[in-house]
Amino acid sequence: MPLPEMAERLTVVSCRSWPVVGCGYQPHDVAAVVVANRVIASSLVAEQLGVVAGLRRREAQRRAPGLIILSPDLAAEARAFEPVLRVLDDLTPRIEIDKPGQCSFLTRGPSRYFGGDQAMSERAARVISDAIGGSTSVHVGTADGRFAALRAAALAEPNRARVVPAGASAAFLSPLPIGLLAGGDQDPAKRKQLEDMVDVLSRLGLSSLGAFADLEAGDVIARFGAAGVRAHLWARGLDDRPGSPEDPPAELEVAIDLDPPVLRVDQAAFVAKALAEEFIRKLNARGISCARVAIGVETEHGESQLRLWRSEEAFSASAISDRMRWQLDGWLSGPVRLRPTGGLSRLVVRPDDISVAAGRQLGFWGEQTGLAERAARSIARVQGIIGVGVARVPEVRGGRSPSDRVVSIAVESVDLVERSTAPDRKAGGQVASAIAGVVAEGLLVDGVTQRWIGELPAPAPTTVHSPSIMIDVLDANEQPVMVSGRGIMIAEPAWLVLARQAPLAIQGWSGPWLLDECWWQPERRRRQVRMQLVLADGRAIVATCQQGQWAIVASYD
Amino acid sequence: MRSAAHLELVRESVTTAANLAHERTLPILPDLAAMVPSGALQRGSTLAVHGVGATSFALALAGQAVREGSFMAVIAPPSFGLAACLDFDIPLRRVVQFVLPSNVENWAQAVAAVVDGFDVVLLADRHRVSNSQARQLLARNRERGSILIRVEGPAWPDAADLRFDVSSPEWSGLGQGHGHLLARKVAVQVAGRRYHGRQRVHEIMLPAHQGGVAPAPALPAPVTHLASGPTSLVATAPAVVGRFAGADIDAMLDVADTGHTGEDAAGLDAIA
Repeated sequence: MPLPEMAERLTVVSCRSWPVVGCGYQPHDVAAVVVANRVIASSLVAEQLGVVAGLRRREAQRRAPGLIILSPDLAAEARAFEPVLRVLDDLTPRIEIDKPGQCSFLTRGPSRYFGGDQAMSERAARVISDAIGGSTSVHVGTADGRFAALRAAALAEPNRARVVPAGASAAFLSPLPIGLLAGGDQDPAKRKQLEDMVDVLSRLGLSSLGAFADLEAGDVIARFGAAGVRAHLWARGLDDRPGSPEDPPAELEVAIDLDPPVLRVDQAAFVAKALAEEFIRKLNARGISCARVAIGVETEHGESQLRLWRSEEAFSASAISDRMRWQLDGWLSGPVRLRPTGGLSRLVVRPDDISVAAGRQLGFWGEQTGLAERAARSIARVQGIIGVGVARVPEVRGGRSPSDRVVSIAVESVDLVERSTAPDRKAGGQVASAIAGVVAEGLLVDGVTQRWIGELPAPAPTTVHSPSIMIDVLDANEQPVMVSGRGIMIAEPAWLVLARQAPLAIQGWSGPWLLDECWWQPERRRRQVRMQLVLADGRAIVATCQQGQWAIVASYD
Repeated sequence: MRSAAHLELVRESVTTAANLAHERTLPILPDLAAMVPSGALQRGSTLAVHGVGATSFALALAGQAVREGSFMAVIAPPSFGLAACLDFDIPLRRVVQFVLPSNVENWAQAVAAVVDGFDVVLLADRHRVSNSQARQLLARNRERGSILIRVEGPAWPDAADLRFDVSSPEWSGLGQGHGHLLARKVAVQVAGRRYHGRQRVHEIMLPAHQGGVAPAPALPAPVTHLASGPTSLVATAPAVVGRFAGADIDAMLDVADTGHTGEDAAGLDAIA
């Protein structure tokens, strides 16, 4: 394969801390979006306090007490991004959306119309900062090649543009630190490869992109393989994947006419899912993968919207249907003046940038392929019967109460196939081993997977009552058992009485264990004692006493 | 000569049949294998688990199959403690929970769709189904080759292929104000249409000390709750014991959980 020596001139628009802004928070709120226990984005103030991307959640909370922890809401982000795209539509018709909060477009056309790269880029920065109205800052970068344009945007002043002159991308990148290469790929596996490579390079004394770019391409491929070649192209201000000059064949396009027209997002999203699957099936049949799709929507009144979505990786069906949902949501639920006037009558998905599929390696040992797909199909059917939100998948989080340790998240937010092939995150063993682990590994163990101190010891209860069941706990003299402010029980519990029912004898109990959680957050604060109780019939429960009120919070069945 | 060839033919057909039978089963924990016919879970069968410890036992039944690659659907209210899966070493990445609204009309249709897609379906939902719906579900399950494990819940018209009654739970590790729950010894009795074995009670640890299932030790496990308290308690308050005897915490929790106050509560009053 001849290596490309050209780079398209590109303008990148990047809105700062968009995942936080998308969730409706302002830059002065101390908030961060956390995925899998790592900060992925933080608000301006949080950033100033040292909460940067990549930090562990506990460490972030240590640096910024009172930090609001958010889960990513890509749909909301995409919805909030729609007005930005609308104003950019006036500048150029071909905007590629990398992810909500970041998009790019080819510089050449609009630059000619608006009087040069600098004028056009500044104009883009101005209209967008007007559109987002101070909720965050926008950074615009123009350069040859995507990597250089992204770096230029990152270095731009807030609400301003940074333009790297044509042909000067390599010189612009040259003094920048080598560590930036690691951020070039979002895919965790490739990112790890790049991080390892950066580690080696910096130990070899190559600390700037320029020093790396000066290496012979042949030497780089010999030492670092394909990942190294990509990074080498970036460092030289080139694109690793130039756009294909020819248009993809028209028969790969899939479309569906909606009759009667659809008014609600969820209805349209349901159709979109089937459409995305058909699209991927068509591509797969030809052995093609697609890194950029055009999604078009038309309404019965003839209004239409076409958006280009770009992805680092080849698109999967679920990724495409997600983007269709975001786009529809952004249009139908966005600002009233931008909404369509009629129902949706047609959906179109068209590949925009195709390449030969590299294929995906299926599990080698033990994985029965196809089971995850079968399960996913069945989930889709149940969603069709009952509604979205019916299926949930468990995830280990960690926490002191049984309901915090494993939480269930909406199945829509995960890719079931990917998830089932990913290695399991091991849950911590018994308490003793957790403590031993902490000692042995010097607290370096991942906070998620290890058991928490103060957590209920294993085994876990099989039912977590929500809301909890109010009970009375009586001593042998049928007097209520009180617990002092220090968690000392005044009398021994003997009877358990459940709302006007006959009492049950308590045969054994543990604790009481005092639990004082989140004292820094009044609305989540929890100060209670917990006990495990074994009742006369051999049944075991977890009871709590909070402000003098006893309750069953969980039971073992 | 002829008899040798004949023997070979018979051997071949027997192994093929055995292989086929193997494909029609899902694996089960070795410690539970003695309780089920042919030591594996027959695809398409329906199991019912009842008693104190039913949920744990259902997870133990399903565990091995999920570990070996099957997907498990848990049809249960949100209160189902998914963390318990970890005690039975069930990989959560192959578990999906379905929370079906209690008043939904097409409940049976939704469950049928779940049965289509999952090898193991744990049904811990108290929804009442009509006889015809239940029969349709069972037929669907047989046809799709899934394993439907019903945990407690209302009775279905057809007897389950295997029915497990879990009883006499004895927790160990917990004292009078010290220790914590460690392990539980239960007795499991197997019955059902497909069960032709000797009627006997299997004693197992559920969960065992380090999680999972283990055969109960030959000597009775130290049961600390018989130590001192209750006897003196009984001595001091016999009237109280008499009054409180026979209360059923199981039914109480059900009442509290679901908010049913009709026939269940009436029945409870009758017991009390």
